[in-house]
This record gives sequence, structure tokens and C-alpha cells, in this order.
Amino acid sequence: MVLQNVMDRNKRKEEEYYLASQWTLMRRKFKKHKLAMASLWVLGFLYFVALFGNFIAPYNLVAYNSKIVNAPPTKIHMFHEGKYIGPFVYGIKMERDPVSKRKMYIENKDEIYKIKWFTHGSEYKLFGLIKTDIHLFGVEQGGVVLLMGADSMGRDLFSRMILGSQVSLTVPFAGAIISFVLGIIIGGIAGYFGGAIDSVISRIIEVLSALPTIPLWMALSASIPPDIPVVRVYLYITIIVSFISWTGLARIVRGKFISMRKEDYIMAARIAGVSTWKIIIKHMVPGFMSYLIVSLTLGIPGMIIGETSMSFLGLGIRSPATSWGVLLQEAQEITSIAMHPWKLIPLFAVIITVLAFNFIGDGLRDAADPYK
Amino acid sequence: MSDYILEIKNLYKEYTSKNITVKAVTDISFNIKKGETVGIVGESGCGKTTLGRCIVRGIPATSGQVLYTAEDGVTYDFLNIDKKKLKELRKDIQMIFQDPYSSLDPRMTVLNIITEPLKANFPKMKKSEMELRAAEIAEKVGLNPSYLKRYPHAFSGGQRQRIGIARALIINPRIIVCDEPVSALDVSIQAQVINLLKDLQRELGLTYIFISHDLSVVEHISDKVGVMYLGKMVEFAETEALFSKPLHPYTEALLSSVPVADPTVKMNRIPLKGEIPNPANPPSGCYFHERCSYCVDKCTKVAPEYREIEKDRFVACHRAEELKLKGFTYDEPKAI
Amino acid sequence: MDRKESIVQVNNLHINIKMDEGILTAVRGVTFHIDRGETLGLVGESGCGKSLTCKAILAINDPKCSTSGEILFNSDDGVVDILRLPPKGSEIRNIRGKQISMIFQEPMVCFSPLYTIGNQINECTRLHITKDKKKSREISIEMMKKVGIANAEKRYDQYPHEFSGGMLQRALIAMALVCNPKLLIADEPTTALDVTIQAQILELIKELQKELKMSVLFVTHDLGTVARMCDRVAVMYLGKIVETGPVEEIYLSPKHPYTIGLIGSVHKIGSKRKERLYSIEGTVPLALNLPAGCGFYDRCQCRIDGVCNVKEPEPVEVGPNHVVSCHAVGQKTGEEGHDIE
Repeated sequence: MVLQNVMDRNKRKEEEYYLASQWTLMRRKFKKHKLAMASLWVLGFLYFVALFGNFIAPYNLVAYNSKIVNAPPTKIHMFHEGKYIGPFVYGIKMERDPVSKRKMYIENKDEIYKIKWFTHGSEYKLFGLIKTDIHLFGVEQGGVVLLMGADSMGRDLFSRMILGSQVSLTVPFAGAIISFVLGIIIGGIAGYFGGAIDSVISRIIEVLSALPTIPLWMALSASIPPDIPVVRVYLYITIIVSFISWTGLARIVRGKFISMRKEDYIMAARIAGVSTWKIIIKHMVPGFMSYLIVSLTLGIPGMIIGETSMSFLGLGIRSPATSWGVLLQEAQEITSIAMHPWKLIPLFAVIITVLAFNFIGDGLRDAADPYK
Repeated sequence: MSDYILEIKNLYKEYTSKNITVKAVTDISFNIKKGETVGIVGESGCGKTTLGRCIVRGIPATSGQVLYTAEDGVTYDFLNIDKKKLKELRKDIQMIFQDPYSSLDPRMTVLNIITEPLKANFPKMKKSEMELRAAEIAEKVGLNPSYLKRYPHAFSGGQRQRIGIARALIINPRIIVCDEPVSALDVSIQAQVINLLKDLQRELGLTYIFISHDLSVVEHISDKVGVMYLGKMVEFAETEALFSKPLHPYTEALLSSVPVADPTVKMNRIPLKGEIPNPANPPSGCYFHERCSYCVDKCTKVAPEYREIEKDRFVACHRAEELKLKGFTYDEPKAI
Repeated sequence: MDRKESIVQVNNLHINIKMDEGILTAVRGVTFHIDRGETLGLVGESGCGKSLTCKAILAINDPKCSTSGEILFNSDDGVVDILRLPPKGSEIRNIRGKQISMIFQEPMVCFSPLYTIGNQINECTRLHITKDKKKSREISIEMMKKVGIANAEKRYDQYPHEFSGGMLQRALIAMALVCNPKLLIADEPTTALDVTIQAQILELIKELQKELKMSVLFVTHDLGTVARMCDRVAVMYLGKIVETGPVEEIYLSPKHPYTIGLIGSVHKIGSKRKERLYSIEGTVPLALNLPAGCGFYDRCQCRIDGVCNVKEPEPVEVGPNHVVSCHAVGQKTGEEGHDIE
């Protein structure tokens, strides 16, 4: 009886394997890559937070308070003088250190401001559609809750991190989509037609790849007029950033087209009378899709760093919009970091995101061609 | 109305790159009757695979004609017809490939692979009809129709070859070019597929061009055999005639080199000097002269003509009439 | 060792490979011997385990394979069990290339494209014969001449891509035989070659075997080659040897249903054409979770229910040196083989 069960189970596993399409086989292999799976969760979390950013952040982009310039992260307490009264913060008083004359912020234990969930705050549009003013948490009137400290203009870094992630996480994605489309079209044309067209396109790709990226971005970004709306700036930055990867993708598509043209099954389709267009769509595109996705995923970190770098240099996102790169502008000076180390937090966010994409790309690459 | 279903006339295929021209197929001509199997044999570099692909228009031939007599009795030059006629006639001439692993798209289900020719040629056919036809063909070639939803990676080499055959058969071709269809398979599976091909031929009245390097298989399945060397056809005859009384020295050497699967038979190999020449730089005169034991002065200067020496027997050798070459003696039961 | 004249005695060899889906019992109890100066043919189709068996004799199988049994080799230092030698030790390295050599199917991939052919053949000479540069070069060139490579001095300094397939196989044979080994294992050496070149190489191997008084283990699935080259034949199916015997016995009166089927599947060139080839139905099963009984049961025409699917058949002697493992044959004592017309 046991043998029968084992044989049945083996038969079912066999059957599953036989009916598995390329994507199913890829998915199974990907799941075995632990680091990639963990990174998927991490990214999922980051994007979730970005999606609900306006709700989760207690303050919006323009809120500032000159009384708390460069304030350190506020401590959240639960017990006051031994008694439990729920999460709260003390008031902040600014004093000068008698010796160094530096500004110091100390807690004023006389003032207690409770932290409340689902408070009313500044107005915003959730997902850009629904008008509301409810925030996940907030503090009683008069208090400030700075989970990651404040910057040199007295703005809450935590809120700005979350709102900045909306830009830093989506620009690379949008850039990736543009690269994808450009790569397929241009690479496909080069690979399919070959000959002179291929030569011309390949040389263009080579020239573009050889250009040093930072000067290229600087030039392109300087060419964006200063007084256009924020959203358009965002769009232009996206396009500039996508310039980095489409050449690599085009090369891959071209290479795959050339190698697939010689496969027997392509010839079989032609001999059976299948039209050229159908051959491309039904045979060639599925053939290179997995490689393309891998390459894309591994290219996103480059775009993230690209956008971050541009914004860091002041060439990218302009206020009032913010991104992690903009936030890092305050971390340029060593004295600034030494005195206000919380300003480095956006850096870790960038590192974690880049690593996550890299691990996912690794996992995808290992899973990429299940037939190899 | 032609006697033959297919007449290949003066087929050439050249590859040129960077000032080097390789003549893969040079002036090939032969005829096939309906229902016949013509075997094409040769070693590497002889051009037999290229010949097969030119005939089905898988690759473009440099020049020549493939005169195909369609079902309506009209003869067309398959290589030089307009697009519309090509679409109509293409279904009649199909191909089976050598490598069962690269001839099936690994990303498509077997059902889709088999029905793809139907979709391309009969776009108005209903999906259910197509599936029914696929199941019919699958059974005919010995595949279990319930496995059609699987992907190629679920099948063994022999089964994949059957899928390739099913794909070629589904649009009812009249001629099938088989390019080394069993070379990549195990011996016992080869027998299954060869038997299948013969059964199908009988049942459906198919005509085969069977390309192979395996002389035993070719002897078993072919009615006529053509021997190729470095792109040229050196001999063409009925199977038994060719194997028992070859007229070209290369054929003689080839036949004597095949190891006979019988330890009691003594082999008398005719040694061939040297190696197969580079197709990009063929020898002068007769391509075979450097390795031929019967070579005379004329052979080094003048290329021999491919001529009909007897009825339906062709050979390209200056000395064909005078040489007495050795072949196989078939066991004849002694008359009482 | 059983016989005094034996070079190799393989006893009850088992090779298992651990896979995700279970344990692949690739070789399930193989026993055979090779005598001095004889050519044993190991015939079988894909999945029968013949390549793994050969590699086990040289202990070059992947570490994923777990091997058990005995492989006794009559080496220069007496009889050793190859499976008991430390896999990276000096004893086995003294055997490989020097006392037992191997040649493979694809000569193209057996040579590194970065070094000259001469350099690679010489590697073997310098390792086992002499470290003297000049002398070893001479010995290697001699060997190249012996295997029929014309212009050996010039070709010594050429790279693999300058050689044709047939020439590369000759070079491979030179590398294998330069140290005059006792046993040559030839794993499908001519399958990838043209017919005329194949004939040359087979003749070469036969000549050298006679000259060097060497034993050959010839592994192939081509029945024609076996008939020409081998003195004795062992037929393998699904990890077991099903029939062993002198080559004439195997071809003219095969006893095991698989052997009969195999011989019937091939058209003998130069003989009258049959209407159909005999074909064994079905395909080779995967050696994963095999059921009890004979491995050939589900494809066999002569199977006996209740016997063949329950117990493994034991080897039975049916003629001089002719051994078969089959219940149906074991029961028919003295009867002839089956007719498959």
C-alpha cells in the first residue's frame, strides 16, 4: 500500500513536471533561491510603504518647523514616572551647550504629547485620487514626532524618506519599461534584418555605450528648462535614466534573434508556411523573454543609483518633490554627518533596495533558462 | 503529365563570405516517382543536408529547378513560383529534422507544435477540429493523444521524433524530405521509427527523400540511392544495383568501409588515401581523384560528366565502363 | 582474481546517483572480466549504464555517484581493487593513463584549444615515462607516426583546430597508447566519425592492439562495429549485463530477448531487405524507483507473469563461455533461441 502511494505521488510529480510551461519551471527554480525570495519580500514591503506613503508619513513635504532644525530622532516613551500611559513624546527644548556652544535638544519632561493612531493631518490624495487627511499616526498639537530626526530646515526626515521613496522606487521602474520597449524594438530590428541595418544599429549602440554616463546625464539634465512643472521633470529624468540600459537590452535581443534564426524549429515553422510575423511573435519573443527580464532586473540598480546620483548632484528632482538622492544632499559634509548621523539613513535605504534588486536578478538568472 | 512527382534539375547552392566561396551543392539532378523512396548518402561535407533544405525551400538555392507535379497534374518549378502559389503548394512538401531536441520549440505544448501548420494553412479551421485532427495524427504515429498538452521536455528522443513526424504529416503532404531522421536515436528506437515511416508511406502514398550517412538504413528503406561527394552526385541507381555492382570508385570504397553486423563475414576494405578535401578549395578535375585508386591522368584535369550510363543509372566517372568494382553479393538461394 | 589471464575483473558493481526525485540505480550488479589481449565489447543503448561502468574502472565518475562492489585490476604492483584506492591518491594516478587508458567519442572536446597537440600528448609521456624534454618529445612523435599522422614532426606543434576529426581521434589514440597500457577503454570512439574514417580508425586500433598485446574494452551501440572488433560481447540493459558470450554466438544464436530484439532491429548491409525490422516495443524506463523483477519485463515478448516481474533472473550458462540472465531461457534447457521472423 505504501509503495502504491509512493508510486502515485511520483506519478503526480512527473505529470506536473511534464505539463509545466517554461514560466512554471522558472518559478519553481526561482523559489529555491532563498536570497532572491527574501529580497522579493523586502522589495514588496518597500513598494507597499511607497504606495501608501502619504498615509503612513505623519508630515507632508512642505511642513517645516524652524524650532526643530537638525533635531535628533525623538524618543518614544511608554511609561512616565513609572506609570503606563501609552506611547507619547516629551516636548523639545533647545539649549546651547555651555562649552561648545552647540545647539542641543533636550526633552522637556513637563510637556507630554500623546501619539495617536489615524489622526487628522495635512490633506493629500491617496493614490492620487482619493482626497483625505487621515494619517497612520500623529502626535497631539504642540508635539513633534521625528522618527528619523529633522533636517537643516526642520523637516521630518522620516516623512521625507517615505515620500522620497515614491520617486526613488518608481523612476527606475518607469525607466525600465522604456528601456524594455526600446531594447526590443531596436534590437529586434537589428537582429532580424541583419546586414547593413544591423551594422548601423550596432555601431550606434557601441557609441552610446561608450559615452561616460555622468557627463551625459549632467548635459541632458542641464538641458531641462528650470521652470517646468515637477511632474514633467520627473518624466524627463526617467527618460534620461532609461538611456543607460536600453543599449544592453538591445544587444541581448539582437543576439538572441541571430542565434534563434538558425534553430531547426524556426525552419520547420517556415517550411510549414507560418508567416514571418507569426514566427517572431510565437517563437522568437518567448525565446528571449526570460533573458530580457533578467537583464532588466539587473539593470534597475543602475537606474536607481543613476537617479540618486543625479539628485544628489542637484541635477535631478527639484523641490518641493524629493527623492533619496535629494535627501542625501544634506549628507555631503563630514561635519554634518558627524553631528547629525541620522541624515545617512537614506543611504541605507538605497543600498538595501539595490541589493534586493541584484539578488532578485541573480535568482531570475539562475532560473532563466530551464532548458539549459 | 510527367512520369515523376519531383524532378530536381541542376541545383546549385553556394555560400560566399569574405571572398571565400563554398560550393555546398553543385549541379545536382535526379528524378523521383510517386511513392518511391530515394536515399541520399554521403559523408560530412558532401552537401546532402543542404540539398534537402534547398528542395523544401528552407534555405534559398543559388540556382536550379525543382519541378513538382501537383495533384492537379500541373508541373511547377517549386523554387520559382510566386508567393501565392507557394503558399498553396508548400503544404505538399514537408521536412523531418535530424535533431529531435532542436526541432521542437521547447516553449510550446506538443499540441500547439503539431497544429501550427494547420493554423498557418487553414486559418478558418475551428479549434476543436484542429485538436481532433492532432489527436488522429498522434495516434497514427504512435503517440498517446492524452499527452498532447505536455511540453517537449516530457518526451524521449524517439517520441520527439514522432512529434516531428506528426507535425510534418498533419497537413497531408505528398513528399517528405527526411533529414537523418533516425541518426540521433538508439538502435531499437531507430527500428520503430523506420517501421513507422514505411507504414505511413504505404498507407498514405507518400514519397520520401531519405538523407542519411547510415548505409544500412538507406539500403533497407530506399528504392533508389544517390551517392554524394563534396557537393556533387557521383552515382545514382536502384538500391540493389548500387549495392551489388557499384560503378563509382567512391561508392565502392564507401560500401567496403561499412562494418557488417555479422562476425562471420570477412571484410575487404578498399583503403582510401587521405581525407575529405576542404569544400572551399576542391581539387581540380574529378573531386575524388586524389583519393581514388583507379585515378589516371585525365581524372586530374577534367571533371567527369554526370551521365546516364544505363537506363535509370547515372554515374560521374571517366572510367565507369571499364572498371569492375566490388559490391555486396546477396545470398541467392541455389536453384535445384 | 578468478582467472590467471584476466586483466580486469569487475564483481557486482553497483553505482547509484542521488537525484532530487530519488536514487537513480544506474548500474545494478555488473560482473564481467577481460582477459589479456582480448577485446570485450560492451553493447547497450542510452541509459544502460555502460559509460558509468567504464568510468568506474578508472575511478573518474562524478563524486555524486556512490559506487560499491569490486573492480580488480592486474596492475604492475599486483592485483588491486580500484574502488578501494583513494580517489586522488598516487596509486590510481599511476594507473590512469599509464596502465589503463581511455578514448572518447568526441575527440574535438578532448583536447584543450590552448595547447598544441604535441604538448598534450607529451603531457602523458612526461608524466609516466620520462621527464627528459628531448626524449619525451621523440617518444611522442614516434607514437604520432605509429597512429598514422603524416608529417608528425610538423603536426606536433599544431593546434587542435588545425586537425580534422579523424586526425584528432588518431591523436587521442596516440595520447592514450603512448605509455603502452594493459587496457584501453574505448567509449564510442568512432560514432562521431565518417564511415570511411571510422574504418581506418577501427583498423588502427586492431593493429595497435596486436602489436602492443593490449586488452580493449570497446563500448558502443553500433552492432556492425562490435561484429568487426570484438572477441567477446557483453550486452547491457538498464544497469545489468543480460548476456555475455563469444561474438559469433551472440550474433548467430542470441538467447536473451533483448539481444535478439537488438540484433533483429538492425538491417545487415548487403543482405536481402526485410519488409519490417524487428522492433522492441516501448522505451527504456528511467532507472528511478524500479519495480522488482527483471528490468526488461515490460518490453519483453517472452515474459512469464509471476516469475519475471517478481525475481531478478540469475545468470545461466547456455554454451561454452555463453551466459544469459533470463528466466525464460533458464527454463528452456537445451532449446534454441526464439525466431523473430
